[in-house]
Amino acid sequence: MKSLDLAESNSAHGLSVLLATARAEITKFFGLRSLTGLYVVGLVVTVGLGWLLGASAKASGENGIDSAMPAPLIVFATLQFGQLFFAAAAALHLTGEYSSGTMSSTLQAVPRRGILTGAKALVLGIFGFLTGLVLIPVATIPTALAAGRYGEFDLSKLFSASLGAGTYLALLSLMALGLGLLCRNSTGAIISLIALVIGLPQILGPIPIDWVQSMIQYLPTNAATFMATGASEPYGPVVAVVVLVLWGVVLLGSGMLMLKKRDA
Amino acid sequence: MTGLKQQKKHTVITLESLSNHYGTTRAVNQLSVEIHPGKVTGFFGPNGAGKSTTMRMILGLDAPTSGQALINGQRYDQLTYPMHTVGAHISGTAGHPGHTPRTFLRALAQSNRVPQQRVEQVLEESGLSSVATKRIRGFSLGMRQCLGISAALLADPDVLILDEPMNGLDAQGIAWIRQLMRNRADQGGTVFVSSHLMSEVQQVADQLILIGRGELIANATTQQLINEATEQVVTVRSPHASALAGLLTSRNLQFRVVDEQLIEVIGLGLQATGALAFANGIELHELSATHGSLESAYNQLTQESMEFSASSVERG
Repeated sequence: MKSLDLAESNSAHGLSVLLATARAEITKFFGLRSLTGLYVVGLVVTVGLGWLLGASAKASGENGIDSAMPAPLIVFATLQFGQLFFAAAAALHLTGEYSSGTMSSTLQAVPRRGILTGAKALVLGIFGFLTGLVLIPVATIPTALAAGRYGEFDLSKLFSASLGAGTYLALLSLMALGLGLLCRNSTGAIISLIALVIGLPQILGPIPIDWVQSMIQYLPTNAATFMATGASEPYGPVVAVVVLVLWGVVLLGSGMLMLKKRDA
Repeated sequence: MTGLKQQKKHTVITLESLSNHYGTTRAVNQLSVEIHPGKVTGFFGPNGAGKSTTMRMILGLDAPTSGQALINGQRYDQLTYPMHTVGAHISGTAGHPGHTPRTFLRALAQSNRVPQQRVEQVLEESGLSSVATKRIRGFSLGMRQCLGISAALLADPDVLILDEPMNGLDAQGIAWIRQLMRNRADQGGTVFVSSHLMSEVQQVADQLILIGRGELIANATTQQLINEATEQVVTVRSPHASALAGLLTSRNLQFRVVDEQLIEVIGLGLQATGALAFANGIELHELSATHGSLESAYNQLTQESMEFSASSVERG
């Protein structure tokens, strides 16, 4: 403990504080059944829906309706729904600390709020990335089996869908964390999350104004689709990643500013 | 208790014109005091006097409107792994209901690079070992207090800050906390403990900081405050209390009317009060100095701020 000399504190120890804080965040995440539960439900839902959509693609195909799609992309499409579980876990990881009053303990242990935000973002981002990376290959197996030849795919599609899902779930987790920091309560954070990924596309969809329609293309869910499917219209995967990163930076950044500005 | 510091590092908390205003409310106003190591400093005032807000500002949880709180010259957020320097328990905050005490403490230990064995040690010390794997959800207020205090002790800090630690504790728990504060002060630690019940702080504090409406009322040793209080207040019981009150008024002496037959004479002393009654033929049934109640000292000291508040209400 002698090495913890206060004088030589700040920037040199920044990284070491960040890593120590990240370890604590991992412990807190796995200590809550509600969060690990959401991840498990998200996995089950994605595997189940993938299998269902696969079977549906096969039935349609056999009846002459061509809806064939590579199995990994079928799975990716189910994330439209499954994403909510992972994003909710990220938001609740934070807002649970506010509702229980634990935020005071957390900030006593880690008073530098930028570092605290960074550690939470690091942990939730990595969890989201790994989940997407693993989820697609795992769910592709039952989906491909159900879809038969209507879900045929090559490895490059599996690879790009997995990487895309990982990137998307990582950035979505950061957006959820940002919304949590802005709302500071679970209900608000979950409702704004649902509004962002499901509500907005639905509400804006029927509005027949050109700029509204082009704006919809830049909502996170649509950007995610363009990224994973390797689309070229209206924009390609690289732009899609930039759009998603911007969403993450803006939401997480404003959340962090509010954390720094407000009393705990 | 291996690896614990037998002697704590000399650490002074300095509040410099510390203020916290929101809207027109002055939760804390121009508070300047130093809290020194080697003794227990009690922080006393009624609910809403600004005790918690002051402690939260020391810990960097609430931002001061003006002024600052320093720990050996540093702001709390300038401390690396602050739990090694300051251990604090702010009431109503001890873990997520879905966590177990062990998870809660383990995460705190990891964040400040405290050896994991300390988690088991503080659980043992606070008597929570048997519930270490139960969810905090089902804990009583007393158990949550114990857990919060365990968290404060986790890194064996030089400074201990406890906000209303006796709340919800049983006799055994209160004895534990008292002994704990005493020991740490004796080891050279800085101990700062708040309470809204004078009887709680009076027994344990060497130094007392009294605040009311966010402002400093007194900062003195407990003994000093008790002495002043006992010397000055004389309780008089008499069937002719009103006649005595009249005499006191005509001589511009301070007193409080408790009821029809009971008044408290302030600042005159036992002998002079007795002599005054005798000289005027007033029959007395009781004449006694009040014994060591800081409660009355506080009432006396706060009278001024009470009067101020009453007159400001009239003006408002």
